[in-house]
Amino acid sequence: MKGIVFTEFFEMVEQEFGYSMVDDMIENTDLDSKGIYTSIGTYEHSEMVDLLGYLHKKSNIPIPDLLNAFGKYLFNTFIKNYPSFFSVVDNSFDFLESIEDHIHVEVRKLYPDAQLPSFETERIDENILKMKYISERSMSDFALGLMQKTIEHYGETIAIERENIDEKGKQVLFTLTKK
Amino acid sequence: MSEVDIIKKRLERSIAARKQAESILESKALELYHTNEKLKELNASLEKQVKNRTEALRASKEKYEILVEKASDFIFNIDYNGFFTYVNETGLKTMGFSWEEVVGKPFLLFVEPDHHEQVATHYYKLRESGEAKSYFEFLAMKKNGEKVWIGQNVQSLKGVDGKKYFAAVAREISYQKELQKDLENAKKKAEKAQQAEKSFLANMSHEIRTPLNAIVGMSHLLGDTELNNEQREQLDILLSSANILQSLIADILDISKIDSGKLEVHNREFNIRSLISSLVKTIEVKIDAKPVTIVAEIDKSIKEILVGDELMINQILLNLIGNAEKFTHEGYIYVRLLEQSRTSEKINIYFEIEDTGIGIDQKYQHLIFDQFRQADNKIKETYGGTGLGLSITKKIIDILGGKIQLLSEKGKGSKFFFTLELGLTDKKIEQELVNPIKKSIYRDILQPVLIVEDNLMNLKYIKKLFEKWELKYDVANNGWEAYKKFKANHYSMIFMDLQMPIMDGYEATTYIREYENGASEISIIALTASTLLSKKAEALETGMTDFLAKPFNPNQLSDMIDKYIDRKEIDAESDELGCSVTAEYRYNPKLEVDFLLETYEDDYEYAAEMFDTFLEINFDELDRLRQKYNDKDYSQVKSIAHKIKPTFKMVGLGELSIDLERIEKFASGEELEKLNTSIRQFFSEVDSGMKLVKEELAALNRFIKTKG
Repeated sequence: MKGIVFTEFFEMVEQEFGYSMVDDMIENTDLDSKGIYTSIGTYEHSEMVDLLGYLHKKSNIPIPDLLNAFGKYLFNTFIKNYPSFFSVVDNSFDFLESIEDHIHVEVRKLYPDAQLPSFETERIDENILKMKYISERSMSDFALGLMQKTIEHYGETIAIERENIDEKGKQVLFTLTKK
Repeated sequence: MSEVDIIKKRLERSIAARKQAESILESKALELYHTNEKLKELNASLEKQVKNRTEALRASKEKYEILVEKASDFIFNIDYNGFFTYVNETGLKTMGFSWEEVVGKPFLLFVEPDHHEQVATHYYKLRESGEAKSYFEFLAMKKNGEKVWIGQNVQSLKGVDGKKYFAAVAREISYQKELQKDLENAKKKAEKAQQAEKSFLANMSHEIRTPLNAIVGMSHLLGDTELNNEQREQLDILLSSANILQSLIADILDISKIDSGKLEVHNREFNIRSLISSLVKTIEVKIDAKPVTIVAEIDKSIKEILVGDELMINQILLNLIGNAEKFTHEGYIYVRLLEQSRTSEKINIYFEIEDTGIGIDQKYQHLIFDQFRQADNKIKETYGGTGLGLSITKKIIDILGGKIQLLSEKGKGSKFFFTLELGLTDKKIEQELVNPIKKSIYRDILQPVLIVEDNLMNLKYIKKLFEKWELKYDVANNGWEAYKKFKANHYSMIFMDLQMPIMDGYEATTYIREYENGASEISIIALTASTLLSKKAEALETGMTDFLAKPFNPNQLSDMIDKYIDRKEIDAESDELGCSVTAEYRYNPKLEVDFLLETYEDDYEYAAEMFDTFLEINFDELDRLRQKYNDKDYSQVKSIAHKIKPTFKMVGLGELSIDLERIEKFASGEELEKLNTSIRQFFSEVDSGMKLVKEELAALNRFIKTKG
């Protein structure tokens, strides 16, 4: 997992709970990296799972909610660091459709070892988009957070329904319906 | 844990993270450095490649530029508005202009004003029609005012910018133009000369023929007078030379008639089966002495009376079969007629004449249809001939809409073939009986038939037949006599020889037709020994009704009478008469029995008379032949052989007749060795032949007596 995810995660935790919570997480989880992350490094995904698990225990906030909040938080980083991806289209559907074939392609150029989820999209009509999330990491809530912020970014009103295709949440179908 | 400790730990973590980041960055920098180095190398190699490519392009461009600039032709480009955009050095130099004087200027500026419209039209068409290419010629003006002919190939092309333009390659063709003009003039002159030659030939042939007919006719008359031996020999030479000249002129006349388009197709109904069978019989007589068999095969499906020019078809086949006979020493001659296709009105018949003769060398095959051409000179020496036969044949086939073709291999044989379209009638050809002997009786015909004939043997033959048929007749010995008799009497029809002294058959016919002045025309049947087409056609043109080729058999003669005299059938009587003749005489099988039966039918008195005449004449002639041969007087040998040759055939000694034909040929060519052999062979057999005839005459006379 890319270092930026960890550094951004720590920043969000610091912002919400203060650095002592960050320190607490590092001290009480057995991390190979010892909690030392740099945005250009690459680290084990399991460390994120451990950190999230600890935070859930400490804060009593469910993991899905944590992931959703983190997705929303990370969207801001993305829009700050990579504004050009957002400016080429002017609506959520077009943007979401461009993730798999455009944004992820560019990401892989920059980080050849990046492990990214994949999305299958299908435009049912001009108001309905079906988007299937596929990833070994079962982080569909994180994706949902990103989607919600995206809709907010383009100033649209779109309802999102989700449906788990498998029990572990490795494949989730989102149905986005414009209002 | 105190706040300070946490800050301290955070600081330590930051420092560790920075170090980690630095080391990652350092390794990334190193990676970048190596990548850069690789990139540099790649760049260098790319640059080198680009440089090489550029160099190659420049060289190639230079090569083509030189090629275009220095080409011996003018090469130029014109835009779609007609303005020059490029002219090569050759174009500028030849026309005497500089680059500035031409490029950017309209093309028409350099074209002779009279040619403006034509040139503009060509460009216009090329531009509008979407045609790719065009060639045209025009007069252009050089800077010094000189006018030159230019021939140019123009293409419409599309440039890289998508704009269309013309690219042209041109050259000066003034010299070629001049040459072309000279050639055209020369061709016109040659054609005129050829035309003049043709009409001269046609006229001269006519002019020569008229006195020649007189020579032949008068010679025949002279021959009937008392002559001493020397005079007789001289007369014979005269006659045989005149005959050769006559047939040569007839050939030339045929050719010139065909060439000048005067030979017209006369379509009439005819029986193709009897045409073929009489042709085959004619040739069979000629090949009698050779181990050659002639076989005619006619498609069973060809059953109708056809419509076509019988004369022409006859001449074509006679020439081709005659040729086959001439050049075949052993084996076969096949005449095949196959139906190729038919509609309700037309039939296409494929004709094929194949032989196992000497064949024609591949290298001469394209020549043999030319006038006066034979495969090579040896042919002329060995086989004689004028080289006109095949040329005439080809031309007649052309006129009839066919195309003669040849397959031949030297030493193996030849095959000539062609297809003709003929008209169909709904009349069926009647089944021909083998040796049908018709019993004709014409006593019901009240008005006599006029026989116009100067040749006493022929006259005797016809008279005898008419007497037998109880047909009344009258005789005129030449055309003038015939005309006088015609005016004074009523005849049912006329049989008219063509060549006669004082007035020939053509002229007499013309007189008779003039006298009739369009009133009901009497049937005039030409009797001709000539197989030549022109003579027959001429006979019909002169106004004759039909023709009968000599020698004819009694059936053919009676067919003519049946065809042209209206009369009621008197079957009963003829049947009765047919029954009364039952006794039959058997000829000695050593003689040509078929021929004798066909010629004399059951008139054995007539046969006896002919046998008698034969013996009377020929003992003397044979002595003379021997004498002249010993004297080495070959022209006399030739003319005696020629004279007595047919008489042998008449008594059924066909083989001796063939011997005589060879003697005649070899004596004429003074081929002494062959002549010696032939003479020896002839004299070794002739005595027994004469004896045979003598015995046969005696037997005939006995038979006639017993029949009483």
